[in-house]
Amino acid sequence: MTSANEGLYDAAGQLAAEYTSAAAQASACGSCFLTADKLGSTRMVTDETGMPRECHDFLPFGEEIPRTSGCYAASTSNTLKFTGKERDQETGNDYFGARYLSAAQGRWTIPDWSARGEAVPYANLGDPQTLNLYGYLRNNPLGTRDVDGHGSCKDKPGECRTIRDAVANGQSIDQGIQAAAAQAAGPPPPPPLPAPPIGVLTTDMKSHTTTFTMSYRGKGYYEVQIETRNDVDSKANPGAADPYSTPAIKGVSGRHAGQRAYGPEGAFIDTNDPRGRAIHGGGSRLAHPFAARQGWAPTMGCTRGQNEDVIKLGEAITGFQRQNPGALIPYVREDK
Amino acid sequence: MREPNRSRSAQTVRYAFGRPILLRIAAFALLNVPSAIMTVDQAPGTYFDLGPHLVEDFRGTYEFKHKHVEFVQTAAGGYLARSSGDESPQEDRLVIESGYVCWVLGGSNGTWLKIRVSFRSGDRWEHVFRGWNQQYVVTDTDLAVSVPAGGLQHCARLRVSWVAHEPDMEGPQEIVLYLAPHLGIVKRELWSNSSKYHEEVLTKYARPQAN
Repeated sequence: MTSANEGLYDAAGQLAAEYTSAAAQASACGSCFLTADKLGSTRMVTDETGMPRECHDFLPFGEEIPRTSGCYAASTSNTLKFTGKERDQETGNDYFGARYLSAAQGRWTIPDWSARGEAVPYANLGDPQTLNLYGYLRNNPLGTRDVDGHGSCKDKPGECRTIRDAVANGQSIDQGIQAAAAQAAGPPPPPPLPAPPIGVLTTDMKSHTTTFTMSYRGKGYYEVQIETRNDVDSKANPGAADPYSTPAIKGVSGRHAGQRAYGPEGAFIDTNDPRGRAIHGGGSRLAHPFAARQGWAPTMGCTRGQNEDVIKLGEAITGFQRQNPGALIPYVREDK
Repeated sequence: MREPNRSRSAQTVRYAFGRPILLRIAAFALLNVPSAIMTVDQAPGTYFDLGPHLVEDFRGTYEFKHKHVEFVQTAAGGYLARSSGDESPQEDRLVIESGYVCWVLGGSNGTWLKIRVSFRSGDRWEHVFRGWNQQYVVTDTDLAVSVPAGGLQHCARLRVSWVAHEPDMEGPQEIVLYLAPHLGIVKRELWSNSSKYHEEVLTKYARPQAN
């Protein structure tokens, strides 16, 4: 028997296995040991003595390069070929669990599918290659391998881990895939979340009311309504008395506290109007602008309320904002 | 309502808040208030003869508000103007200073109104309130004024005007007061930039029974 050492190198040029060509003619081994490359493809089978019994080289999509020299000419009962998957002896297709890969075509034999019932399973709409349900590894098979027939571990590391764990625990790859599918389907959906908190501030200029309507999670709606007026000074800017709305009020502001025109602390609600129109108490013309109920006087476009009423309204708004941080309170001043 | 004293010539009527001046101070009860209760002694021979228990009820253009004012003579001889109703209860003071009747606001102590104890048509004076330089002018003294409380003759009209620069009040402002003999202020108009935005009129009053 001639003996010549031959090396098997991976894509990085590193020696993956070494064998002796003298063993090339050997028949099936008793106990076979598989040597795989970095993609998991079986490149060499050795017997219990370390003698090479079978060698394989694969094209990127799994088709085997026909060779007849040395150990390439021999064969064993091993059926684990491209990326370590079982090659069907009759069809030559590789079984990945979810699908068969036709190595000769470099394509899956059936389109991809998902236990979750997705329209385009495992697709990334930002990556057109994933929309091809027959394509193997996005037509880029050199760097990684498909784990279960649905894609690479890089695309779905969680499922890969599940399959790997299953196999490590003595289960078959099919059982691992089932476990992964069950995991992908996820736990039963949680009960729907209660409606988000809602707070809405509305001024009805016709009925002379301003109302803050708020909802607390699952506890119904509450209202605070006060009497307000929208009489506007004749010197006010055009449109000052018009309806307007803002997407989110700022809330109670101390910016004008203590000024006769706006009333005492807490009686100024900033509606976040770009024109500066707010809801406030006070009244420069009035005899007692800081009294709890000071009376009524026109504004330059703002909505006027009695001091104690505006303070009460502001407290409700502040309380809502405190209990629901980040919740927006839209404001609408309308003339129904 | 008692008829105004027609024995005087309307052209020569002199509106007077003379001694005992506090009897006529009650006329201010009608200012800025829907109603008033006045308890004063009747002063013989004075033009504004309000009687001991005048009850007046004003209703302005702001119909949702009703307010009552009671003028109370204090033990010290002064007068308090106690107001109540939809607006917060207030207790203002009426004082006489240098020939003027001054309505002094409770709390702030600002002189809300300053009217000469006696005046004639054409009289003018000034008063600074909240930084506003208010000009008082008596424009008429023989007007016929009709209010819900009745038709009133020989009424005086007093204009108080100033220019405001406030966040909610800008430009020329004016208060027009109508004073009826024996009743005091029976009507008040508020103007801003030549536009009337508020009016209060006397709707009801009652004279209390004499002790």
